Amino acid sequence: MTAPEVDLVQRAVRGDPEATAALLELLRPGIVRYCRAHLGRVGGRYTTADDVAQEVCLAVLNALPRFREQGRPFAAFIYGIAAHKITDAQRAAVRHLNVSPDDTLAEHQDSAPGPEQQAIARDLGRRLSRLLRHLPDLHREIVVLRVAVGLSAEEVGRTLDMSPGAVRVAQSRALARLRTLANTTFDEVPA
Amino acid sequence: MTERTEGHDLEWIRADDLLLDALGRGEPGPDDDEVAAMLAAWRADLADELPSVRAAAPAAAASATAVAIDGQTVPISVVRARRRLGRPRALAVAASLTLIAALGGVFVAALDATPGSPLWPISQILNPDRADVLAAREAIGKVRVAVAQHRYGDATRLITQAQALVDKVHAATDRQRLQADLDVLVRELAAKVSGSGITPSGPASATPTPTPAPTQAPAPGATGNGGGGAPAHSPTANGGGGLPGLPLPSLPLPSLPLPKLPLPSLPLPSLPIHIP
Repeated sequence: MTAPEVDLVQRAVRGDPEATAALLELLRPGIVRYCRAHLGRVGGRYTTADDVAQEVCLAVLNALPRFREQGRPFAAFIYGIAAHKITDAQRAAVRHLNVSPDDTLAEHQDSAPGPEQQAIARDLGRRLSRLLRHLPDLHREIVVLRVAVGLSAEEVGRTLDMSPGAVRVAQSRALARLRTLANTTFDEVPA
Repeated sequence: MTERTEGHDLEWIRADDLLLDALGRGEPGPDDDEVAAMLAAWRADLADELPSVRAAAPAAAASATAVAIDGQTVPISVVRARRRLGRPRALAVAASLTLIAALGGVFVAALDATPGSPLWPISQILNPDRADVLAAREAIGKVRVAVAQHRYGDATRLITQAQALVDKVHAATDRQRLQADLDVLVRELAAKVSGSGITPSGPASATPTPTPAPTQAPAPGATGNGGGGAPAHSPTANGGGGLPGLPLPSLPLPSLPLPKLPLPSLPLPSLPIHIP
């Protein structure tokens, strides 16, 4: 979801069923990637994240009629809701199982590795997802919104109540930190 | 890369911004940038096998979770998740259950939609199985109204539409129940058409409908299966057929909820009644 048609959003907010369905389809991939980025694979699969993404979609639908009154940019509206759902899911996981989300995220079993190149790519992706956990929350959220979801710096700024300039400075710091981590934490993280 | 650890000056900020824009679009990073490659791989992995909405709500999981929330089917694969994997997945189940509890109202609102209501297209996406059932049920309702209002031409056309929708219903029990409802109306229409003096065309009189007789709208006190004391609806043309042994109740109106008849599900791909 980069810039859904303003018209589509307006019609959906007014309750137009077709527009709402179209908007939902448009938003889903970004929401799914957002939830996957935050919750990671559990037992090698994204099923948990996808379930939470489904919750987010429903919560968005439910909140849609209130969007206009809140007067927030649409991306901020969507990913504000998504952030809350992610927090809820992580709290629930901790409460129910007394397991920290990090432990769970670190756990990954690959029972069916694909072709070699795919396995390498997947391994790279997992390394990144482990490195992300060493970032401050704000920086991690910026990377997730910019890369995983694909929001612009402006949209991220509106979502996180920052100026676009502040986002750009912060994202550069986040990248710099990731580059440092990639070189220094390689040993501490099992490949 | 290590020389970029600060990354604060404007040029780096601009370069990083462009890089993140490209990665956010799903493009690969430059070859010599390890972190960019990792971010690109991560982004690709996140988009891997994006679940289709229809696949997210298999009939089994939906019906198994229906009990949890006011009898509404829920597109959350709690049961599926529990079955598929062991302990790690317990996390998924716990999280899902909590969210189900917290979101009960939302689910009911979004999934309770019926055809024509604002949330109906969403309900179709989120819960296609239930949507098919509701669509078929609504179509059958239209047939019922048309029959009750003696709009036989409309009823004939609507029955064809309803049949197509019934055929689309996935779950066998739902489909059979809907088919039985529709069959009742088909027979009722046949009875009414013949009773109203409209002569069905040649092929229709030799209709393959094996159980034409039992009218669903006999006058009170009618003796049950056709040919009884209901003058307006007496299905004279069909009186000889029917299932004489059926204990049909006396119903004043077809719009009332009909009790389940122990009739076999009849193969009625298209309405065999032609009204000139």
